[in-house]
Amino acid sequence: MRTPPVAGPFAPARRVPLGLVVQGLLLMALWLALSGMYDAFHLGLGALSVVCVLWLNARLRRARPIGPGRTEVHVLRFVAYCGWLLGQIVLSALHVAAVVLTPRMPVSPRVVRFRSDQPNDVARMLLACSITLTPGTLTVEVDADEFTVHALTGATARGLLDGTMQAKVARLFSDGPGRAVYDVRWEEG
Amino acid sequence: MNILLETAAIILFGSGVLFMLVGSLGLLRLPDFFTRTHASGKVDSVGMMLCLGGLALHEGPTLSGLKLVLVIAFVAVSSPVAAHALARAAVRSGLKPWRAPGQGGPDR
Repeated sequence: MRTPPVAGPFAPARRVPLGLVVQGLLLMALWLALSGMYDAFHLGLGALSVVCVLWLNARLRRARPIGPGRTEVHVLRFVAYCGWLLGQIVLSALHVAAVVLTPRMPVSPRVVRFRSDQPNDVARMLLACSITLTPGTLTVEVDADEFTVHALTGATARGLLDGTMQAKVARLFSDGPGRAVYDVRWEEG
Repeated sequence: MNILLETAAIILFGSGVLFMLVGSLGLLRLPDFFTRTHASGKVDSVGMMLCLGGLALHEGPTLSGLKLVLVIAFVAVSSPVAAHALARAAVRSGLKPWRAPGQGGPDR
């Protein structure tokens, strides 16, 4: 954050990182596009919101820096992954709906822990969110490379443990991913 | 073309409403906190995204349509984070997941 003082008559009093300025401008553009009201009051509210969001983001980044590992993503693979995930969400939503609507309701909730080699923290976050977004599986805890998942039925748990999703997420970031799923442990009640 | 779009919008909206109904039924019928989080946090959000998608199709490429698409994106990002935060808080405060009878759970 702190920059060395610059000599000369035109030295600015304060400097902020370029990324922060760009982020602020983009957020303000989003506000203008969504608000559609351009009087001083609403513009002021927008500026206030942008400052609050930037402040929260800066605090988050200080509190929990993103760990090592390349976080650049293969864009085409990411778009393909979003489509695949959408299909999975619909399929498992139908499965959960069928379970809930069956009169005797055959739920058998299980808690399962597994490890998955992911290239970085962003990949872990994406995997945890994908698991939770898919109906029938819920990420309870992520600790380093260990994921704890609550599954509504045995079928949803086994669907997750075949490693397809884990391998796809790892491949978004790197070409030589490690083991998709290993060290599987079912929690005993 | 217009009729096709309208039909697709109606199908999307209708199935969204069905999923939200199932989510609410699940909230009432399922046995414990974690299983209910499955119903409320996920089946419901799928229903909501389908409804909003139908509305966006109905609206077409206007500013309102763009806003609806943005809302879908925000729901897709915030809903799993909220469900995860709830489940993690429950586990950390010592809540044990319900088990079906005969699988180590309480016989009832």
